[in-house]
Amino acid sequence: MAIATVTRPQRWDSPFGPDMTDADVESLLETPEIAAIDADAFPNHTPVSGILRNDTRIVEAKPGDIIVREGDYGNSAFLILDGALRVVLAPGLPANMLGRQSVRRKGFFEALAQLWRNKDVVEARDPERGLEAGLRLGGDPTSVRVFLQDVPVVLDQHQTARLETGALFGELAALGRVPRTATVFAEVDSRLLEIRWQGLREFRRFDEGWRRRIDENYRRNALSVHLTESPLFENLDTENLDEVAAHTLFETYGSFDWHVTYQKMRAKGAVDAEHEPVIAKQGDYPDGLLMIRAGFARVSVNLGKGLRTISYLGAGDMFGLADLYALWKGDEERCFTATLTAIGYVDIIRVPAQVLAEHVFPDIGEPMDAVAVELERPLEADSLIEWALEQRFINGTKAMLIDINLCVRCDDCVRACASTHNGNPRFTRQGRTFDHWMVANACMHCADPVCMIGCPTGAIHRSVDAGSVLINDDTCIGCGICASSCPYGNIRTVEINDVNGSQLRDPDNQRPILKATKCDLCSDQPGGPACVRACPHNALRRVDFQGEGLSDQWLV
Amino acid sequence: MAGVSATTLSLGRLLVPIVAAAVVVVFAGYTYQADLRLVDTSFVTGYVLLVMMIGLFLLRWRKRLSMVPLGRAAIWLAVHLIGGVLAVAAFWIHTGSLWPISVFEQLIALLFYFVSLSGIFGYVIQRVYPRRLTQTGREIIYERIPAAVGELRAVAESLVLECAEKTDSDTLCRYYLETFDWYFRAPRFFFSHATGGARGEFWARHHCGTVRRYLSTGELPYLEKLTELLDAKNVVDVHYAGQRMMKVWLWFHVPTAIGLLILSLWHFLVMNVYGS
Amino acid sequence: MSTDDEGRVKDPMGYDPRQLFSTLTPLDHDYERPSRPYRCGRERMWSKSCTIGPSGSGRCRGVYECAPHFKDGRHECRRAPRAGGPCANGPLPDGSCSLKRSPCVPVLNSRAIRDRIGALVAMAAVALIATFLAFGAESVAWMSSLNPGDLSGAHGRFTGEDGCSTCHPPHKFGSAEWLAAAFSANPPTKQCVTCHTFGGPAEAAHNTEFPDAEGAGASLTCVSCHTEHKGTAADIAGISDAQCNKCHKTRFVSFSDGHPAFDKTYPHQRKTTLNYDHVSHRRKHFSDPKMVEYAPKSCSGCHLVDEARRRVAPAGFDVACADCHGDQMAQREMVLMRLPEFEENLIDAAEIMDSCGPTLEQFELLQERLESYEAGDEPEEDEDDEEDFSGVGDDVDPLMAFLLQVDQDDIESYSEPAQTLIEELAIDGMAALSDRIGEATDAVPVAALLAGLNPELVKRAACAWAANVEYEAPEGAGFGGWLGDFAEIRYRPAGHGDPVVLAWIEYAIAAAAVADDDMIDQAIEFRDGLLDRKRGVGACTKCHAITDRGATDAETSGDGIDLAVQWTYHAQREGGHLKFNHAPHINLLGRDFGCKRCHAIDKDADFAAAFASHNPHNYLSNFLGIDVKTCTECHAAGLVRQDCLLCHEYHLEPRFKKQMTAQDE
Repeated sequence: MAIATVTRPQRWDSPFGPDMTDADVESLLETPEIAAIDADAFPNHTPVSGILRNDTRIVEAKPGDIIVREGDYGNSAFLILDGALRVVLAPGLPANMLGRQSVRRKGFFEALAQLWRNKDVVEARDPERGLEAGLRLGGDPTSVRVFLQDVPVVLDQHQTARLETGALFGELAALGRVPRTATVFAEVDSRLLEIRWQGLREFRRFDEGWRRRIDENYRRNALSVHLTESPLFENLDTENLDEVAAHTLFETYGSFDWHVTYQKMRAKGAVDAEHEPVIAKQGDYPDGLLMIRAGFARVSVNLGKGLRTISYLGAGDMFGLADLYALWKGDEERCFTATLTAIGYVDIIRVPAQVLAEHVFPDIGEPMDAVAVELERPLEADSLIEWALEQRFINGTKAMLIDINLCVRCDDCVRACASTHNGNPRFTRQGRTFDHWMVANACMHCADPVCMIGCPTGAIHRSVDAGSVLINDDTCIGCGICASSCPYGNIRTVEINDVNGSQLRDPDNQRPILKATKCDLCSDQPGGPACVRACPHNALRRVDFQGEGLSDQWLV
Repeated sequence: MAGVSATTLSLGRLLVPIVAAAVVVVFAGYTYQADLRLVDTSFVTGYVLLVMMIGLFLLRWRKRLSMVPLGRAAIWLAVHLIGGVLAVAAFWIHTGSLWPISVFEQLIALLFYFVSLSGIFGYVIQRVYPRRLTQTGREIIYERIPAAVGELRAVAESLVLECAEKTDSDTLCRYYLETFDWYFRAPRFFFSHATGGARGEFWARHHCGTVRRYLSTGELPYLEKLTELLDAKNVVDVHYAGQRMMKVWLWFHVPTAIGLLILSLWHFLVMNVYGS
Repeated sequence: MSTDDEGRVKDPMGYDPRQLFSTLTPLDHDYERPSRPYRCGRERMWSKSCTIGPSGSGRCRGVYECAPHFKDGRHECRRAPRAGGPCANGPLPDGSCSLKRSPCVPVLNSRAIRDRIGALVAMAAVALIATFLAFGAESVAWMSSLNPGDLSGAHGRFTGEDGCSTCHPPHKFGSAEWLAAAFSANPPTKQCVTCHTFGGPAEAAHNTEFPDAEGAGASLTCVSCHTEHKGTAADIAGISDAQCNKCHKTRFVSFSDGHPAFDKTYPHQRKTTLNYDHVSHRRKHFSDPKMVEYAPKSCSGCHLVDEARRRVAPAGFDVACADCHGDQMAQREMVLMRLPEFEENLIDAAEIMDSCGPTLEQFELLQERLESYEAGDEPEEDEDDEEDFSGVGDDVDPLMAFLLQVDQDDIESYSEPAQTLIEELAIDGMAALSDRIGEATDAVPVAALLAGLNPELVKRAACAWAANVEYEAPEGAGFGGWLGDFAEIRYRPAGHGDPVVLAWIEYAIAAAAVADDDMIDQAIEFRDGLLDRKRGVGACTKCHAITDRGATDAETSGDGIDLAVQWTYHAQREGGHLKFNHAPHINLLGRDFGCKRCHAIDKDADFAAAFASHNPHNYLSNFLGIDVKTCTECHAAGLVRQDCLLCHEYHLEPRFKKQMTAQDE
């Protein structure tokens, strides 16, 4: 089959697997799952072969290699070409097996001992410190893998299910931008086709078979749960719920890798509603309820020649309910009263209007018209929201917010941070400011932690109990992917030294060994973040932009 | 946190001074009554004052022990502030006068007043300067100021050199050497910035205006750029003055407090040996 | 900002100064590390610090920008990306970095400077204490850290060689004991009482035990009030009204507002020592035309207003009384001996004759007999000798009755002892009398009692009496005040203050006090005779009050045995907690008539009645009592001082110990 040469789309400037050869593509086209694709349905500029070549790569896995980890964020799905894998059913594997840190809080005196135990040396590490998890190094950072050292024991002690050749997994996390729900590791030597989210999206969009396969899987595994979590559907019985689920549509907007383009957009001043993918437009006929499954969406209304942002929506929020209800009640003229645009990447569930009319509206009262309420606010109050959106701070759940009208710049917070991190601060007391608010360069522990996408060893992860984003220093290989992914510049790679102050270097090339570092919310310390405790002027606090809204929290 | 209403807040703010004033009144009343009963209160008030001073001094240790949860530093500072005011009251109650008689006690009083006044000074500037820094609209970490000054200087020098090369005129270059060179060497107009003046800004505007009439159209863009640099430098200067003041006042407050505590402990010892 | 090799910025026009304040990308800057004490020395020159920075101990580590890596036969630059990445020149052939700089002198950050200053101040403080100690508390007292202030003027001179340890014993201790003294109580009160003494316990309130007081003064020490070291001029003896009010249950605002009323008769509570009736003198005598020239014109005529202190004493008899009363003393004589009437003559005439020689009568008789013998006449026997033997008086005088222990008017009782006495006097002289006087009591020396009495007078009188003749004193034989006269030996007082009279009165009082039951009647008769206002010797008790010392209050009089005559005016200071000084009042109100402002005559008072009794508590002054209001006319808020200490004294009889005052000599 000839490969059509077309003007290469921009997104294929950097192929997923640079080592993919024509032969590889040819052989992939032979595999049953690919062969079943109707290549003609694909547009000329995005042929199946092009997708395979640029958006996929072949992964060889040895027994014990962890392919996806529970809790990780991933932008790719896996198709088993050959071999067998095991998916660990709940309860999952312990954190240390996955190359993560098992955080244990220090006791009071243990914490106090940091007073004299902290090293005088900058970024001191113990080079002898062993890894609890096996680490398999590859040619480049992205092929480094953590592996399970004793597969039979794992199989013996944990409930697992076998994934055979032809199985597709990881697609929900890749498309829905939700954490992986289970850990998958190789049982025997296996070959896998890793498809990044762009390719997966094209397969789903243009091929009926893949779409059905993915959507069915999603409906089966996640949708019912997701719907019942919404107060709107929680009272429906199973039968009706299945009915709703069957009619529900899935959509994604924006770019999965929004953080890569975000800086450029910022530089161009293009971070506003006008430049964002529109999900629903003010004045359009409301054909369905939009429920955000992942990512963020901006709600704005027309004002003058621009759009006025009145709020933003995150996972679990809904859009258009009041409009649809009014329409159902007989207000024929009713349209969407606001515009919904995607901030970064948004995964949407669209519940058609007639399904709501049939199953939901008869049983509920008139819903609150959030748009109308928010329009009551003075325009000035929105400037804070505009700014938080522009800076993407809405992502933060523990953003370090400093009132610089109170801050005397004493650096007690930084010193406190250093005192709990072996003498090394884990943030910089500087950041973007708005009015008298500064969001400092400390990890915000994002709702959508883009830093976690692409970590080859899973060193950066969410802690199970608190949900903070942590880096396991032992498994961090210093590749810097997380640091460059973070849109806020809150992760720094540091050159490490031994306890005597000598720089630790790679014996092969004498390059310094790097480690990614950032705020860990003092998760191993008693008493929570030391920075907050240390501020003598109540100027510093950690705020959740997701939580109770912006102004309420800030103006305390 | 968000639930705290404005009324409870203002009441809470009033509560602390009211309680503090009540404590002073009760303590002064007690010593007055004891004095009437011919009970020697100087030891009781002295112990109270010493304990208070040690308590105030503990803030310094709280700052060093930030790794352990000892309560929020903000509460410690609030207690420190209130305690400081109460300590002045306790001091007067203890000495019964504003100024003692013996040289040694005068030294203690001198240090005490110095610590108290420097504390009040520090409190005032810590309330005033942050807002002033905020109003510059820009932020810079104190430790990065030398680098910032160096960078501005390097850019400014390169700018006037380039101007001379590109325009074949050394007017700006010579003027730079006469005036701006000095300005970019270090933070300037410290006193003016520290007292809230705008001398730096005025100075820069004045000198730009002076040289402008001698510049050709080709040179003017360079002057515009230089103005930008001067503006940035002025902001750096404001931050330098403000942040340095907020650091340097502690050079007086804390060491004097150490000296005061040592002399007070000696006073405490001598009084216990020679008194009863 | 990118620079070329000479450090010139490549595109200055493209430079955006805002980047200085923006969030810098992670690669540009490492974390700021404010907890590290040292910073790169290049900051001193206001330049960017090196990327490596000084070590924790302040050593420059930025001499080389990188440590090149030797690989495949060549050296590769390993400069960190944030320092600019590999440099243009690359490593030198020997493998060292080509960008060598001279080392900087790292600078301390603000906090580290503060810590250093703190350490310096701490050392300075310790050194200061040591230096201040080195200046001994004595030699350069004002410099010493031990000296909390100068002593008050009085105390400052009494420390002497002992210095501080005069009051603070630990001062001379060794350092270990000195430190230990901090944990034990050593109140200076113990040392105060080496010099000071009081009329009661030193640490008790008012130096007086108050068994009923509730907690008051339970833990008083001298330093409770007297706090020293407040400067030479400091008043260390003050106590405020409020402090008085704290213990005293009668509380009031101030003297002029609520002070309890004075006693009705205040200040005339105690009987005066003189029975001087101001009313009768003013009303009767001073207006008597005969006397008016002697009458005083004002109070100061009699009272010594210039020497006024607590009391304004009268000027004394000579000045105040003598003009009118000067001759009254001599009119009252005292009988020392009187020849009583006898029923029979028990005297051995021969012995008397031997001792005394014949009386004039006998002499004449003898001469007559001799003449008649020479003339040859037979002498006539004297037949009625015994019937004729009789004294002038009808009984014994009280003194003799007392001395002889006889009943004064019982002739049976006294006849023999009286004649024995006369016989002994005639034969042995005055010793017979003085022995008897001394036997009764030796409270007053006999010499004082009989001062000026010529023994010859006594002997001759006795001889005369023994010879049953009346004694006739020779002309001009008035030795002292003693007179021999017919049947009596008498004493006539010379004037006011006659010592013999004084002695006899004291003798009589003392004798009555010691007399036993047998003698008591005679002793009292004798004493009361002397003390009688109308007849008593020298008329002393006409004016000088007699006090029955056994009387405790107005109702309880004594048994009349323990008496005292008030010879002198009340002492100036009589202790207690009250003090008053007339002097300033007199100065202010006037020396002549100012007294009336407070002292008003009570013309109705029965002043004289009080002196009928010897009970000193039984007294009615002929001055009205002074009311508080009289005082508060001036002593009130905004006028003259009215604090407690103005009139009341805290301590009871504060004195210095002798040992202390002796030091001055």
